[in-house]
Amino acid sequence: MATKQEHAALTDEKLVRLAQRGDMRAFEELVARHRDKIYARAFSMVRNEDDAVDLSQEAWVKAWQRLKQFQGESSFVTWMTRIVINLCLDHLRKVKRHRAESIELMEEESGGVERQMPVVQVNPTEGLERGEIRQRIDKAMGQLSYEHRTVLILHEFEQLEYKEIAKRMQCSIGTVMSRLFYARRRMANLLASFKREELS
Amino acid sequence: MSRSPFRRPFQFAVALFLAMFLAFPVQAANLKLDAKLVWGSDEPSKEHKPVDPALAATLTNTFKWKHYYVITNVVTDIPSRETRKVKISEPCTIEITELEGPKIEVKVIGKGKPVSKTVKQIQKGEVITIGGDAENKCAWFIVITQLE
Amino acid sequence: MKAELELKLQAYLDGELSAGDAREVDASLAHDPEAQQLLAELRTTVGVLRDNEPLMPLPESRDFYWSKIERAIESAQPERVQPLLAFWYSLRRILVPVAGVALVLFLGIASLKVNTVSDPLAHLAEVESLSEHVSSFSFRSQSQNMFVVWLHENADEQAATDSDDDFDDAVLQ
Repeated sequence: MATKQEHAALTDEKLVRLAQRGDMRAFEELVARHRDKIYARAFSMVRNEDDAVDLSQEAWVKAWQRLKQFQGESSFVTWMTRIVINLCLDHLRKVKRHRAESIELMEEESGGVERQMPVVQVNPTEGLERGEIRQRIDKAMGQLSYEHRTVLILHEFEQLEYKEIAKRMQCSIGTVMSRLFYARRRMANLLASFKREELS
Repeated sequence: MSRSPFRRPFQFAVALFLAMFLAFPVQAANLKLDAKLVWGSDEPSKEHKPVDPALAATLTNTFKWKHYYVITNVVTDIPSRETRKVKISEPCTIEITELEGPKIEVKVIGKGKPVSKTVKQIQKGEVITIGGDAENKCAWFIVITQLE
Repeated sequence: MKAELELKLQAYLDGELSAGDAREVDASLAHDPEAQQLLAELRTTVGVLRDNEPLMPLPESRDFYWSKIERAIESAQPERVQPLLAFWYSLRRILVPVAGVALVLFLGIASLKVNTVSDPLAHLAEVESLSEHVSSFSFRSQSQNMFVVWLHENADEQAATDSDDDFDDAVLQ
């Protein structure tokens, strides 16, 4: 049986083929390689460390169970990311049933708030170190409702088209477009406000 | 004195027997262990004593909690093939038995009921940790190390 | 600016417009500074986001994280039939006394060693859950030189039993 070092030298495709034949150590290497990315995607969506750990682990277990269905149409990590996204969406829908609608979503659905936000004319992250930019984006994402955050993640980070996002979020394309518009405008204004706070 | 025909081999056997014990290090009769009850939390606490930096690094690099505090610390000597009970908290006791190896058997007993048993060879420098989730997204750890 | 135009601008940026609609937006942009500014803001925001996705390292070690996944996979799998098991049982009757002799010889030789260099069996352990309410799994962290046994209450048992069996209180109070 291959050692950990030998597995570490294999490509994802080779590891997937080994894992599909039942090699758990090959699967373990895939987990080690991509666990941060899968966890990060879960955290970006659910904004809770414990839930993100649980959901990411559930995604890995599901992936093992469905591995034979993976035919290589996309990369393994893309396929894995789709699994964890679906689990997060299911989780968020369950959570949503137990809480009141967010004020933000109510504002967005009543229409017009984002149109009152001033246009941000200067790049609010100019001159900042990458780490600082990422921190500010993370902070701003935490201030969005889950619907706005999700549509932003699926479009900007997962590069999904409107219709794919609508399918996953179980809403219309029009809803995706207005949520995305609101989320982007809100994000721009939040980043600008962080910059103003820094300068004041 | 007549010489027994068996005397030379017998003397040789005694000499060899003694040589084995004098030439080779004898296993220490007592096993000295340090047992700590540690609480892991994401929130800092001024009321509790943090674990030492080395243990903090070991726990932080393994588990997700940010802060680790010592709740109880007991040093115990366990004679060979004997059992010592260590009260780690009000309702929880651990029973440590020294087995051949040296191995230790650690039984965790909560509110008088046995919960788990672990048998493991103990090595200097190795940390044996038995843990679980606690309330408020915290965790508890029983950390056992061998002392010199 | 009308909401419809704003969404069209966004769709134009995202390449979601038909060719005809895209040409229309292009044409109107030339005479509409407000639309140009909005488009610039959207474009900047998209660029900043795509280049700077926040990094979020997993807050658990490789071994701990993997051990929970492995356990979940194994508990979800049905027990496999081991055709060799029966063969092994029949061999055992012959092998056990032979193994016993070999073990005695091994221990005899081992006891004469002056220094115990790293014992390959040192990391083996037996872990047993003694309560029906608690399950356990274990792993070894090579990098931290630590052996871990993780105990957790069975979810079904937790729902069904009274609170005086609260395992967490049993350890930390």
